[in-house]
Amino acid sequence: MSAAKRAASALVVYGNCQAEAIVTSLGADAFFTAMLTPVYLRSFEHPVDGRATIEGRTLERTALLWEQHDPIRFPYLDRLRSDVPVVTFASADLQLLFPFNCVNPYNAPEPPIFPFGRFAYGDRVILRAIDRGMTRDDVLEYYLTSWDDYAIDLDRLEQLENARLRARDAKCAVAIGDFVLATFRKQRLFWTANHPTSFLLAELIERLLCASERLNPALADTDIERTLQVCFRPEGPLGVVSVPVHPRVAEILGLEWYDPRERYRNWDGTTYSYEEYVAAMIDHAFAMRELGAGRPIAPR
Amino acid sequence: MTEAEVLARVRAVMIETFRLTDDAVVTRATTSLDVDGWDSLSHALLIMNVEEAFGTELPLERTYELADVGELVDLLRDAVARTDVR
Repeated sequence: MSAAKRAASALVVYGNCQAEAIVTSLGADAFFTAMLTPVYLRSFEHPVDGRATIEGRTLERTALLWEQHDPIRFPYLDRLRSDVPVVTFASADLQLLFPFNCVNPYNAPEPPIFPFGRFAYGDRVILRAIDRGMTRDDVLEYYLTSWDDYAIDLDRLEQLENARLRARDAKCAVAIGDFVLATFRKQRLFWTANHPTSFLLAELIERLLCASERLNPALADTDIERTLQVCFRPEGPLGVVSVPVHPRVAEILGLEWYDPRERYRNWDGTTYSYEEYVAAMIDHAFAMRELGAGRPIAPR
Repeated sequence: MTEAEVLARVRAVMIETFRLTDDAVVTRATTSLDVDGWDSLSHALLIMNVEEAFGTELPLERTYELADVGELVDLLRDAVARTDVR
């Protein structure tokens, strides 16, 4: 839809990359943009672009704010009109599928193709093996064959994830943890620990639209599921990168959708099998290590 | 176990979990905002690692209400004391 046909009133969505995906999705929906123009404000510091700001004119025409639960609240709350509804919502994420997920100290932004680096999602088993002085080949062999040595208690992690998601849901007007916990075994919900698939993204947006009916009942008639199917590739707006689920994690959790032949994507369009992905991440870590990256960090 | 001993062991677990420098300063006032990589996702792994280090299980409903390392230390001391009584 052209910008000229967009509604004068704005919906501001504040949060992480999921908030951006919500705005991208709704921005492709002509039915929605006739009512509201979606605007994204990120809650985090972008590795290349830094902090984001929002124009005063946008704040003046804001009719609705969707605020993701975050340690740093929407910084312009006091500049919104007092009658603007604020709908808080929970981030959709799940560590349980990626129990070794961590910050990758060997990762560094390489714009424009890799703004968040080549392997933004680290793996603590690989990092620990490198720290122990294993060779590249030994790290790969260890990762692929030694689950029993580095296995994690997935039952306890699931209990903790339950507690985490329920605690956060309780602080938000729109919850999503309940849906994640009830569905993650039957349906693929995540490409990475915090990148939902279109299936989950549609559920989150539908819940937000229903929670915003007070502003305009017609909002709930937006068919976002169809828009995501028609206007985006099957992997959806957050599927440009995907991280493998460890085969033993899939087996132990009983993930019905898991396909061991799946290929995983990276920013530059490269696709990898599970083994190829692990090997590429290890190769990258060793290459970056030679350049001096990956040292332990000091707290602030 | 004294408060200082619990804090020292929590610090060791944090160094391992978050890959901190060996001389990392961790006090009762340290929060997740002070440590790169300590977010709501990795918090679960920190809890699992301290549970393993102390041989105890923490009450789930309280693990996500901790404001800083000091509150984690207090929660651990309570849990360890309960474990010892049993």
